[in-house]
Amino acid sequence: MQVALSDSRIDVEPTDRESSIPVDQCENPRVLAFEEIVRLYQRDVRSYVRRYLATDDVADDLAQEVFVEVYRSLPRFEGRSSLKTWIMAIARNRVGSWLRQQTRQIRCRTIDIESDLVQYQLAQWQDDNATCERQSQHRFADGQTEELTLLRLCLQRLKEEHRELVQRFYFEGMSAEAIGQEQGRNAGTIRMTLLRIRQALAKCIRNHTAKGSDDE
Amino acid sequence: MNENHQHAGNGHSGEGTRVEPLSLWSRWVAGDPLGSEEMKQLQTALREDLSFRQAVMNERRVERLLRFDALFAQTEAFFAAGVLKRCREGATANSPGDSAGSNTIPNRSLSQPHPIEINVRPRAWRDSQTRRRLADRKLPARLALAAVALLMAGGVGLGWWFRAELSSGAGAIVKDDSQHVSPQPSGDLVNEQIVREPSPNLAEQLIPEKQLEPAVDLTHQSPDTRFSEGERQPPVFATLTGIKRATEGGPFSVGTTFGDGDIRFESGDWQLTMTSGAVVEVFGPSRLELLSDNSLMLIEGELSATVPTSAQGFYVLTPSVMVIDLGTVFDVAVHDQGTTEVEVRQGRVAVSSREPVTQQQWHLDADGLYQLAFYSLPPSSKSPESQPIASLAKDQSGHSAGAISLDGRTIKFNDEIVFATVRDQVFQGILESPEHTASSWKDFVDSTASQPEPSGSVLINGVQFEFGNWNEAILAQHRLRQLWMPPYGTGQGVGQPDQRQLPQGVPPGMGRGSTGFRGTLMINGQERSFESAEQYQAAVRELLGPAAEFGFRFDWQR
Repeated sequence: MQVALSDSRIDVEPTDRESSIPVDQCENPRVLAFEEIVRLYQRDVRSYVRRYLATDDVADDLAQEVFVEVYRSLPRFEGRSSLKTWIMAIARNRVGSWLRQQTRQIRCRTIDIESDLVQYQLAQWQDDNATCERQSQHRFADGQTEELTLLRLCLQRLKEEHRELVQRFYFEGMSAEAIGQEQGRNAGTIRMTLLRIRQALAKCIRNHTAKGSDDE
Repeated sequence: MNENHQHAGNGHSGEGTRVEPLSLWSRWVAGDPLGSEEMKQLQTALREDLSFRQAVMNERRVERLLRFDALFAQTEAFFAAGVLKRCREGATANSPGDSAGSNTIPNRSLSQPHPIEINVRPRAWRDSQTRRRLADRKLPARLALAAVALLMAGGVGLGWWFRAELSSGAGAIVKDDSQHVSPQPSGDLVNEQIVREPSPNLAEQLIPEKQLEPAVDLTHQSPDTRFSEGERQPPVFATLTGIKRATEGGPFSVGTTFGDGDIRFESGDWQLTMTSGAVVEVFGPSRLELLSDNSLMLIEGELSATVPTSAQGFYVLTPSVMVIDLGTVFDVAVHDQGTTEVEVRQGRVAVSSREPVTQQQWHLDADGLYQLAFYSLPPSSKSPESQPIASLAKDQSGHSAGAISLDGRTIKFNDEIVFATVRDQVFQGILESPEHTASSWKDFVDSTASQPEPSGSVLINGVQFEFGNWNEAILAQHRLRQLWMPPYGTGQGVGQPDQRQLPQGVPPGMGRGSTGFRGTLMINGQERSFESAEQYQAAVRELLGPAAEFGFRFDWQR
């Protein structure tokens, strides 16, 4: 079989990688490696943190803290586990302490749904960890990308109209109102449909990961 | 796999008592004000109905994942810059979470976007001429040659499966949406129609040969980021089952097992057998990460996968795409983080963009569209606002189908030159002025989708260029530009002189500036005369509107 994969193509390359980092940082050569680490693992860390933290801003803030800790602890990394496992362990601990701290603060306030949810999240986090301990593998924490991958797979299994709805709402940023107007339905119905789609997706993701794992 | 989700959203979860709390929940997460009674009811349901609680928490989790997926590309650079800034300042959170919400992602002043140059070069699938693969298969080779050959071959409208059509406002230059390859060779017609009297020699005179530039290998520019190799702990994702030509040796010997984590092969050919049974040959220098016993991420380099039916579901991630095996033998190559090439030698694979905004997705088939080149900016250079994606698939006879997406708007092309011209303008534009490019792209796509295909001709100094649709109009423009703007194409053009359509008798170089540039433009029955390049451009803009942007820009001032 004859093969010719390439044509004229765009190769985009950083012409001078080092130059983008201020000189004072270059004194420490691990900064460069570290930049690479952030690039490689931010997807995992950020999405892992989002499993338990409801607000994007807060989640990213915490995820950044995870990397700062990685940066500081890097000299102490011994390579007993893979780098990713190690980073995700840091992320796990950070999330745990954040959730615990939040629930402590909550007790002083009026009880509301928001606060309840944080507590449920903490319980969820503990459950997840316990499950992982039992199976002696941190499947998700280690391979958070996998969950995103499964999400993609599951999205493909949606009915076309539902996939389109997800596309519009999440990826194109259309509001439920705008979509509703277009389809002659009210926004509440659209939101409800989206909610049911998410439930189906959650179920799908779980079905794919639950191979052999305990169900709650 | 499970069928439960085949009919997602059908309302299975709406049984019995859950209906009411669920709609309350739906309103609550949408931010609708709930009455205090409703609030209490929802709270009680959450506290007491465990399955309801679990269901909505899972639902929230998916919500966050979806949002994250949608925004990841746009925030990646910001996030990394923020981390570096914090590291430098040493301003870590002694009290985690305290700063939460206040200063989320610091601005990117610390880490300016990397200076980027776009170089188009017919670089071969690395050293493929000399490489001998473990399985002794025929190699993807002759790429530089192919580049020329393909440029000379015309495009053709090929059927393909394309997710982005769902997007609102997605334009489609190619209005051919059949799901199967239609090997009808109309491509050459397109080009012959446009320019009579081709003169290849002239093209050589007009357009200097491109300079090849040395490739920049990111892995050699940054310190080694390996921290562990050769996992000693279970689970075992893969086992090394063969080595060839590993002259520099390495830490691995046959029988070495790998769990998760980075693996780097500096040279040689390495055969990994995944625990699932998939056999992966990796060609050094390559870097990859095993994700599970049946999946891996190719960060850089090349591999070839042979997937038995027992390993169904095997997939390969690259920085820009996900390749899902559908029973096959296929190759994947990642270049400089920005480009992924996929070729199917047997069976089928599905390739989808990892940029969710565009959702470009292809089915490749050994007998049909079997090669795909996927272009994106490397992660380190991503513009936080807009990330262009371009992909071009080819079949055995060189016919191509391409697509370019930006901000969820996609246009398809059936001609490689048109594809490359527009792609280069978009990529260059997004690096130079992201906002302007993004808004021009929006207008361009919407405009091409909403107005009729342009049909007409340009008559210039006795040479006529005809066109009957968007592809041909852009192609005609490309020819004109080559004729009258010889320097065009040396930097960001299609990479090779286009030798097929240059009319005889056109003096080289006379088009620079306005001298001698006069003629008539006719589009959809409207006619405009022009006596300079500027007038010509103005006429194009007048007749085509915002569609006269990508692929139509003459850039006389360059």
